[in-house]
Amino acid sequence: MQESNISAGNLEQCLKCNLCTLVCPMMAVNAHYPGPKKAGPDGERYRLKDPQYYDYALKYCLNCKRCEVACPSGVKVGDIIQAARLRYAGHNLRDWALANTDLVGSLASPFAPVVNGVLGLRPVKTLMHSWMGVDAHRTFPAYSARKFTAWMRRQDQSAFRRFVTFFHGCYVNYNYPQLGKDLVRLVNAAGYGVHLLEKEKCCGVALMSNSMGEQARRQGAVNLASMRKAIAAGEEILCASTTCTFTMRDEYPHVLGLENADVRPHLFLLSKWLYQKMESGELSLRFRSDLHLKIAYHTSCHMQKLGWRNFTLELLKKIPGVEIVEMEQQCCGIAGTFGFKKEHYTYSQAIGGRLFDEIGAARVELGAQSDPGFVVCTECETCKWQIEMSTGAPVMNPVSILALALA
Amino acid sequence: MKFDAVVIGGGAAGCAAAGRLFDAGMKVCLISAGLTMEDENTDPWKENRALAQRGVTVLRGDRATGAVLEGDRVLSVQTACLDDEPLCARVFVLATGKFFSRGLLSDMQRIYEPVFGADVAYLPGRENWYDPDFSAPQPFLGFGVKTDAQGRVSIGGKCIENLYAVGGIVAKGAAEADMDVIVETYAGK
Amino acid sequence: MKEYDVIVVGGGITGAATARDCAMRGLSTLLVERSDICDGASGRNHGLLHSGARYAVTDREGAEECIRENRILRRIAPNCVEPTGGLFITLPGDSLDYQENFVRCCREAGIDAVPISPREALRLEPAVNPELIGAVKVPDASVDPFRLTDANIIDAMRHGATILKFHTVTGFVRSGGRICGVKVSRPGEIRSKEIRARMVVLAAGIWTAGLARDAGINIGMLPSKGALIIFGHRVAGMVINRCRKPSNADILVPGDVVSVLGTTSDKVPFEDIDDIRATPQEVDLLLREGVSLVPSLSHTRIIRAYAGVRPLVMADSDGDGRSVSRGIVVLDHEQRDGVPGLMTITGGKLTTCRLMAEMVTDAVCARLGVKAACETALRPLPGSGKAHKDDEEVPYFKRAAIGRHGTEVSRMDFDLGHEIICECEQVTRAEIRYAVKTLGVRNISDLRRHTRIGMGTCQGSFCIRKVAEALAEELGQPLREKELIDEYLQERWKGITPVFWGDSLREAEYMQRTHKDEV
Repeated sequence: MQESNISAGNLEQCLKCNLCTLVCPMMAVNAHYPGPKKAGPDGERYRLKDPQYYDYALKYCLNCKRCEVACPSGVKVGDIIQAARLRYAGHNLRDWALANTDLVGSLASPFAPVVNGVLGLRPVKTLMHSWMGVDAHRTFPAYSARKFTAWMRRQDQSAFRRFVTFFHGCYVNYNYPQLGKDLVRLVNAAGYGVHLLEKEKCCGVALMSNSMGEQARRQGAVNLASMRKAIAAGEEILCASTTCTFTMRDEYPHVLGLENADVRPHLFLLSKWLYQKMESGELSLRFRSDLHLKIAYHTSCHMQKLGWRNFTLELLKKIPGVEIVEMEQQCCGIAGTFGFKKEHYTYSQAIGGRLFDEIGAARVELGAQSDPGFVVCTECETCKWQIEMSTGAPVMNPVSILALALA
Repeated sequence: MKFDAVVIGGGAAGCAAAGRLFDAGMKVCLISAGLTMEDENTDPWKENRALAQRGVTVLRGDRATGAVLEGDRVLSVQTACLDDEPLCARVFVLATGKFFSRGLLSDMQRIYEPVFGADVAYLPGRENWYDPDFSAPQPFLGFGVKTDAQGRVSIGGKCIENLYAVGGIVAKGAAEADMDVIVETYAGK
Repeated sequence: MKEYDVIVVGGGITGAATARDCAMRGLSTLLVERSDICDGASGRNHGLLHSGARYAVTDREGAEECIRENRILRRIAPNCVEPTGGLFITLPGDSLDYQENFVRCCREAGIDAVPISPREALRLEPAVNPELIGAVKVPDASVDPFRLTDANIIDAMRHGATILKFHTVTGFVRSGGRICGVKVSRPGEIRSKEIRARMVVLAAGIWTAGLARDAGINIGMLPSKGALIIFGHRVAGMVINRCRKPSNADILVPGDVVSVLGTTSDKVPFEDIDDIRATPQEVDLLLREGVSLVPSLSHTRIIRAYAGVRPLVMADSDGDGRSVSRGIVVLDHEQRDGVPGLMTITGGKLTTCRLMAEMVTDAVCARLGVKAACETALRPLPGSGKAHKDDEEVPYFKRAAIGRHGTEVSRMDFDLGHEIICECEQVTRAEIRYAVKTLGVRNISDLRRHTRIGMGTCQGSFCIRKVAEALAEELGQPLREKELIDEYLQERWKGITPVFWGDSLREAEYMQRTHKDEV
């Protein structure tokens, strides 16, 4: 009896030491946010008594999980907040449109040139700012004219004997198919063919942060069912995005209550899979030696939570001639759809400020002020939008860098 | 992943150990399972960040969950985040602190060390763990792992050759590892 | 010198309710308490508002009193009562015949007891032991004894009563055979002063026996210790009872944001009543039994353990002192012992506090020739109006205060004091100021009783310095923070040590390292 204390999100392990509040990026810039401890384990005790204690300021949580990384007690502070938002908060039309990444993506893609043009127009931006509450400063990620899946269907993978399954995610499919193409090229070069899931839905992260838990749960169930089929066929599941990976590995069971213990060990970020295969000698890749990239590596929030940054860094170090500077592990401020909402824009940029400065400094340090070989590397697509918009520096996923470096 | 040394615990003792081993030319990994009480009122992650900048591999927010031993040697430890990827090294330093940092766990009957199941010196019977006077010296704060004269930890009474302990995890009166001895034994080989 | 109509001795729930009733009937009233309000058994119990079901089988009259008072308190003190509902569950090995009889007895006593299927019970309350074979739904509820006592005290004051805290009654003022007041002194002081009254009412729980002895009167009382444990959060939304003959650890009550499991029942000597504490052995016993009620208790964190002393009163008719009276006991000592000017109110329960007050005040009025009728059942207690906390505009730091004090929050100045001082329980500076001004709080333990400060999972480890500073400022006294903190931590330590393992032990290390220079 009492061998351990078990509670949702390890709420009871909280010793109230407040160490999490030292690392919360939102608390540092926003006096309305009560901070991870009060919003999480403290608030949860009250919400368990009566949902009326739900505090609407929880909407400010970025779900960056830096509180969880800092917590000496193993409290899933971020999960507690996420779960509370799913249970108690309402949402509006704007949140719906931002959250339904694959539906809106499907609607937009065929009309990409028009949509991109329209979304970029000043009057439209102003309208979205005032009517829907999307901040006018934001540049919408461009929608691609041709979906990744359409391209993938034309790729002949029949020559391979070993396969992996690629969870491409909404961003690759609708906004940036090139990343998917890079991954396929890299994996093919490693001697593996690429399959897609029988049915893939958005991982649900945007739905969850906009309090649409039921829909996220349904989509998660579809993804898990498809993954189980792939795994049964002996294929590992690879992702290029830390957010999709983290969501499906950890948020599914912790926040949505979707049991995934059988799938979780087979769900990889490409860099972990590739590193382990290369280290065990199962495969090798040859890289060119004339790349001379200068890389500022930014650890996305969910990468930090996954704890896998060394896999990426070790892989990048294998490319001859690259220089890597690691940025301090801090949030860029966008937090997915969070930074798109007009009421959050100022906070979003204030949080990212330190990182933007650091990137600028790294550029100087690497002697790359005007060097086209300077690139910020991160696995998160929304970090990419934020950093590109805020610093002007190009941002690449390590998958693309590795593909570029293939001999 | 392969290292010369893996230090488990990113508090003051662990950071000092990792820095010392790194300075001796060793490839070092530091597992830092969250902030510690020393981080209160300072820049969080300060020590960890400094070590990372020097070249120590710091696993921030990860936690050692178990170990693989062969005879009286530790081969590797596993962590919560890295799944099946073991952290292999020639020498391991246990610096996980006491109860607050979960270096020691307890239930109604016993106190134990969770990563290796190392031998712990404590008084049986939980009414002997505390003094009813809050301001009196508290027995439980002296509990910790048993070590030999070199600061090496034992499991089931058997000394583990390459597992050393430093900081709060070491029982009161037991020897902490001498980093110079570790450097002498393991660096540059 | 002023002469009061009534002096009530004892600032627990019974004394508070009695002072309120007396004041409402127009009697000039003084309440004397040797410590703080609610510092005795009133603050050391389950916080259960009985439906009466627990007594239905063995004590019909007690059960009827409970259900009547249960309904009244829901009406007059909705901010102190949470209508959780309760379950009586029958487990394998218990008798379903007992349950059948139980339901019949409840109904005869006017208690709405509804047998439901085990499946329905699990749906209503997923925390109950899923192996249950029977369940009965009853109108039990959770009541906050601190708040209920405070509300009575505040209402008494608003009706003109005077509250004298931190004064010990050292003796009685006599005139001939008649008691015509009390002698009081501050703790630690020898000098005492006399306060006169036409009637003195003893409402001091187990301490009544000693006071009566000072008046030359023997009241047969037995101190019975009850230990309870507090779990860190709500594991169940309803009160859960075991449907069998009352026994150890057979009630789990959702009290405010925690869960309270109890209790034990052991006779203790009178010498022990001023230093009563739960032991590790009692914790083990409570836990062993409690797990069969709600299995998740086996892995739920315990914050602390504590114990109170029930005043069991022996029936006067019983020569050898074996039989214990279950009901409310009003003793008119003029009639019983030939000592005019003195009455005792004892027995009863937290649930029947209002009725006890009514009964003794009726007796007092009869002696004093006052005709005013009792209105305590009709008039709501302070804080009981409508107060909303689910409006988006209401900030989180105000919600907790609304939950605790209801409409009394309108007397708190959040513009000046919205800084959160105690984070676990979300107590702000405004609430501290209110407690100091309205309830005469003097130290951190007082503040805890009236605001929940330091009652959360950290037991004050994190916030106590801030609390001491804030309190010293509000009191406008020269700082004696260290003394305040030491006194408070020693008191908390008493409740933590019986549950000294797991996360409580981790918290203990944090507490030691934060609050001791050298460990």
